[in-house]
Amino acid sequence: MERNMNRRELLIAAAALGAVAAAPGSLRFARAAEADKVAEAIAAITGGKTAQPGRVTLTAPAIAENGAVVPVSVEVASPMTQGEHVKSITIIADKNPQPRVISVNLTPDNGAAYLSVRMRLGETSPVRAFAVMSDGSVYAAEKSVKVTIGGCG
Amino acid sequence: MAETGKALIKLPGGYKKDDVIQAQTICIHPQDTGFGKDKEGKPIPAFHVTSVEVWYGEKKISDMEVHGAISKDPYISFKVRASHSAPLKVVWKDTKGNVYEQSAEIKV
Repeated sequence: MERNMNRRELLIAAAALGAVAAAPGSLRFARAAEADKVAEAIAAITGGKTAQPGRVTLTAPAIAENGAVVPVSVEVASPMTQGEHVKSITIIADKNPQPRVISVNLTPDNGAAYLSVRMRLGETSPVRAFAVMSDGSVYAAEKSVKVTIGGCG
Repeated sequence: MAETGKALIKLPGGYKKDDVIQAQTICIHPQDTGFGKDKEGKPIPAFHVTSVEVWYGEKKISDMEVHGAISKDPYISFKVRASHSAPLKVVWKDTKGNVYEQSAEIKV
């Protein structure tokens, strides 16, 4: 698509005219967060522990037509008792300028470790969910979400 | 935006005592990330929800740290065990220190 090929030039021109706000909301994100920013965000959640695979089910679309509204759900297998429950769930989007999206602290009164939100993705990015258990162990799941800006890419 | 801060909470029907039910909440909010620019190209300062607390009766059962990457008019859904009859209250706070809340009755 010719229009698509020229998107970069179009954006530069739009910026020069001060018309960036006219572009879709998802374009407002600055390009690419640094990898260490992501590592830092992850370390803050896990306390340096290595996240294990399993227990966390992350549901997100493989392709999100509108990066401004991406439905993401996280479910963690846990009995949610006083002795064994999920303490927190955190969602991270690697390529967002601020990788942390949301963190939720849970208690056994929640009955189930579940979180569903609508989030923004500035561009195609891995989306990760981390679950910190009451015993301190950390589980994680990851899914790549492709963002088609303007719905034609 | 006149409606900013209007909060909604929705519970399912037909649950019994100790069922785990799904609560859905929305707060009308622009969720400006601080990375955007207005029509004149001036940066739009960050204005978004920073935290959400969930109270079940007198007890805080959950709290959340919210960033600008949560979409405009934040939708957040979570679960709760309907162990007793009490209000389920959701309290939203934003970067300007505004506090918005809404509650719904859990009846078992």
